[in-house]
Amino acid sequence: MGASVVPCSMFQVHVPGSRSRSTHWCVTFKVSAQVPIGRTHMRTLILDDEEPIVHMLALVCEKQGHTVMPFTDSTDALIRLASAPIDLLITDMHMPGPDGVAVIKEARRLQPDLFTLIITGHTGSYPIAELMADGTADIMFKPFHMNELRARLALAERRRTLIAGMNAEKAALHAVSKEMILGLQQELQARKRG
Amino acid sequence: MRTLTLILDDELPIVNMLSRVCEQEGHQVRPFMRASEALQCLAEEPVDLLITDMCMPESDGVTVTKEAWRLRPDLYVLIITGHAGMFPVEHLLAGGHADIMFKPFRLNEFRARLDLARRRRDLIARLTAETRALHQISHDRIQELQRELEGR
Repeated sequence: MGASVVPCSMFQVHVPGSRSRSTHWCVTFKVSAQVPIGRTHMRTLILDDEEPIVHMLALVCEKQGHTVMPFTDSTDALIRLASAPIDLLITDMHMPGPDGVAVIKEARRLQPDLFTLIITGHTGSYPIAELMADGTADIMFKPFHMNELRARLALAERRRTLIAGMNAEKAALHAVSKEMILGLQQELQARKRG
Repeated sequence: MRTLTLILDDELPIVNMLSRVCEQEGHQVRPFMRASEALQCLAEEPVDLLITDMCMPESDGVTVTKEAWRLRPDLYVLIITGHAGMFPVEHLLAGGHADIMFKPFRLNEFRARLDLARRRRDLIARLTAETRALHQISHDRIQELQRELEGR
């Protein structure tokens, strides 16, 4: 049996028979652009200094299947952020104490790939572009409709699944390649000894 | 490279306004008022971003987006809508390559969404490139080891 390596998204390796056996790996990877629609268990931290807003946001998130951590005080929210990872941060910008900018910066320092939904008014002078990071952020302007909130939650879930899928593909490719290379190296060493 | 952006809306003043902002942001713009012509353009040109209205007389945004994704599954779409309850918007968001903007919107929101589209496309492109590079490096190393095995 001859050796062959097929490029593209599939590795196919046939090691020439040695010691009466051949080794064969065949791995395929594919990232689907279509992520299934369904409720996910997002751990969502909600921060707004107005309690009725927090209550309303929490209600909608819970209906979407999120596990919600509601806060009206940004210092308390920062303490929670430091204690365990979350999946989504929904935060207002204008608050007493540390504002939305400070909270997002600290949250990103703790979790660089954290998804955020920034809620802001049109008149604010916050450095929004700076907070958009590498595409893991979204923004919602006040006043907003419930339909918009639901759509943005759905979008955050899809994007998170998409990015997680791509990262998982990369990690799996790395693991399998490493194993294949190690297998071939061992085979080569065994032959050198034999 | 400039972002090639296709704009589709049945109202000329809206198309003109969206086009002007996109051009100010450095995009190359293809403006359309008819869905059939927009889809023809999508089939022929390497469009990076589709901005489409939902409610149009000839065709609706759902149909256009679905057809656009059939032609180009990785196309980023910004859907503009004023009637969220009337369209199955959630189904359009399945792939994660989409954003939505509700009417009435302000220009600073539109600019923010263009900026988000660029960042999200860059993130996907970076992850794709990293995986491709990893594949190539692994593939080369495996071939090298196999040549060694065959040579012995």
